Amino acid sequence: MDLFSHSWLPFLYQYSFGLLIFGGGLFAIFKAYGHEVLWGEYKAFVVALVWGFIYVTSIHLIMTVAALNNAPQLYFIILAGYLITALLLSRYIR
Amino acid sequence: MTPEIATSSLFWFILVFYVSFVLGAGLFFARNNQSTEDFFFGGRRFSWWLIGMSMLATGVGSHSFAKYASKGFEYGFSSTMTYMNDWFFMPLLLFGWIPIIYYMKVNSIPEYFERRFNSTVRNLSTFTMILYLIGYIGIGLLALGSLLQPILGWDIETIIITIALISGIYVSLGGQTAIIFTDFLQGVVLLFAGLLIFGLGIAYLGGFDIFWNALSTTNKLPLADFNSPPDFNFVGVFWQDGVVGSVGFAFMNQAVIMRFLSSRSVAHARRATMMNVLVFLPIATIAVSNAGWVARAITNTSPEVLAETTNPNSIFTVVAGIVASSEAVFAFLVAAVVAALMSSLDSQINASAAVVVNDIYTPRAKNPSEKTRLRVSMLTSAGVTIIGIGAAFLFAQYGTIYEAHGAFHSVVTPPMVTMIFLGIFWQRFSAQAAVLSFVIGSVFIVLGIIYPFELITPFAHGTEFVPEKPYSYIRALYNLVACVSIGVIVTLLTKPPKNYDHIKGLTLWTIKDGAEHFKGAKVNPNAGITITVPGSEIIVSEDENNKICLPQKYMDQIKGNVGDLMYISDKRWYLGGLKSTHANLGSVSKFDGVIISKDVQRHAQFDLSRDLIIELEV
Repeated sequence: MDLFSHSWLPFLYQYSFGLLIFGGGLFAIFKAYGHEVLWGEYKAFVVALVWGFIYVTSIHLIMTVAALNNAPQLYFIILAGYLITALLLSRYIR
Repeated sequence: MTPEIATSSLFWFILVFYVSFVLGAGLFFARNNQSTEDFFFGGRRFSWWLIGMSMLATGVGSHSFAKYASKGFEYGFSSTMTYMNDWFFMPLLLFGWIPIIYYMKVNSIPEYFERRFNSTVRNLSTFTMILYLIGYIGIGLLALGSLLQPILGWDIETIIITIALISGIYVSLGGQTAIIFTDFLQGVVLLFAGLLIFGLGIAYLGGFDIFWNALSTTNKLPLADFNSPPDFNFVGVFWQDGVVGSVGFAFMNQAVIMRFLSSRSVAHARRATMMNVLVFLPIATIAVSNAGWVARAITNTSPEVLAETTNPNSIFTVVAGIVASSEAVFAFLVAAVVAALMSSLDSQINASAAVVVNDIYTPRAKNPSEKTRLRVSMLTSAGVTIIGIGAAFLFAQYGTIYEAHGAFHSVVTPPMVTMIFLGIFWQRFSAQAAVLSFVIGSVFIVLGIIYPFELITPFAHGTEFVPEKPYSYIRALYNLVACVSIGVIVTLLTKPPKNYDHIKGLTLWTIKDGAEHFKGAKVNPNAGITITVPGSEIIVSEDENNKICLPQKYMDQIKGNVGDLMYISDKRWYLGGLKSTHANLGSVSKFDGVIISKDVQRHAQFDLSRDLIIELEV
């Protein structure tokens, strides 16, 4: 059974548009605030934004790989990523 | 097919106790509402964790349990696919929209439109906003009716009316503070209950391996098939729910806007949003969907226990009835769904009242007193609840809740999303372009309803055309393209303004002016410095000027200037800002103690035997 249209095609479509929207947004706020202000005053927020994008992408990526390869143990990676994210946000974002 | 579930007096005791508790909390917090500022925005003072959980409870309504569990039952893990899309818009939300509405003290989206464009745009958006919010109320009521029907055995209309009356009374009396605090509790309850049913379901099936192996590969994929079937396909749902729905919810949902405005600062609103999307929402995704996954596994392994033909809209309650080990647990699970409904319904009712009072009543009334505005707010809350009941009856005729909600979102949201987005991110986007993109865009939307095959097929990505429900989801893309194209074309064909002074602080490109506007004076670079003061040093004066005066020793520490904005709060973090307020810094206190005016104390209700923290803001 060809599962491409049920797995990698929607994944690529979603994250191509996602990268465009997210990247465009990041570019716009850097331009509006100025590089020095955004990176100087809001560095933790900017790092968290980029980390968040990587994190949500990895969730769908790992879930797809786990389903196609019948490997539920990969969900432990998602769980680890979740705990790291919760820790980062609660400790370092002010 | 909807099987009936037998219940005893224990079940009813737990359910009635829970609902009474929520109503009691509403009445308790109603004491603190002294103005519409309190009723709608809780006094702009709450901490990020309280706001974050409240946002979650607002977003995860009972319609979520009905919508996502039903799709989980039919299609598996892909029921969760739109929950993680919100992050794409976070840079623009956190650093564009939130500071704009917070610093410019925008109380409602229509108000933003008047300040950004003109009163015509405000009127158009007021109408759409009320339609959007009442639609949300209707969907929530219908969803809860569907979930409770197998237990109550009543007809759905009676359930909808009963729940609407309870929620309407509670919100009408309690306001935003009641909502935020009860939302926190309800958020925790619904997450716990959602995970509990997953655990019980896995145990019922005999372990995780059995659950995993009972699902097919397609059940376990996180995204749906690209363009089929027509009632649940990736590309349609991506544009309808992932793009238009996400932007609509985060940028134009008045209930969410009010959460941002209830935060004690922009930083707290940003932090609440991040925590909500990255930490709370992933758990919520599992909580609202897993009953459907467990149901799918049960149906695949034991079809005699749960038939393939079970009504997907009621799957949460049906599965809870099967896997709950006792009636008390089952009652708790059902109470959690009621909590979910209350937490989204109360927010939408309160938000609708805010729009009516701020955008219809106040501009037309001749200087209404605060007391009158508060009374109108309460009456409006009751009124929109009644209209919401009518909306629920309309949606009931559509079929599945997921499709009804999708079709509603696809049609109502695109013109508003276009005006907000182009308004924030394109200075040149003019009032004329906003009006035309709304009006002509709406004409194209109507044409799309009349001639779906001719107009929407080019955008359909190969999705099958079903004449009875044509392009329920992908029409969102067509509607969005129509509205954006008209906005862009009209803007480019009209002369750009000579300067942008009139929209200072209202667009991303003029955002630096916002903080100064909020404060009414130059921004203090020392903002953020905090000191702790024993409550015994506080002196309450008879003045009513919203001021705090610090002795020289504290002035030196905090490095504030006269007129600076201060945040004063009880030091106990777990109060989440309930006993806190903002005040302006007055001249140096002649006494050794800290002097606060009478209105500051009245608003914050400080316990003067406790330590207070004082922070320099903005």
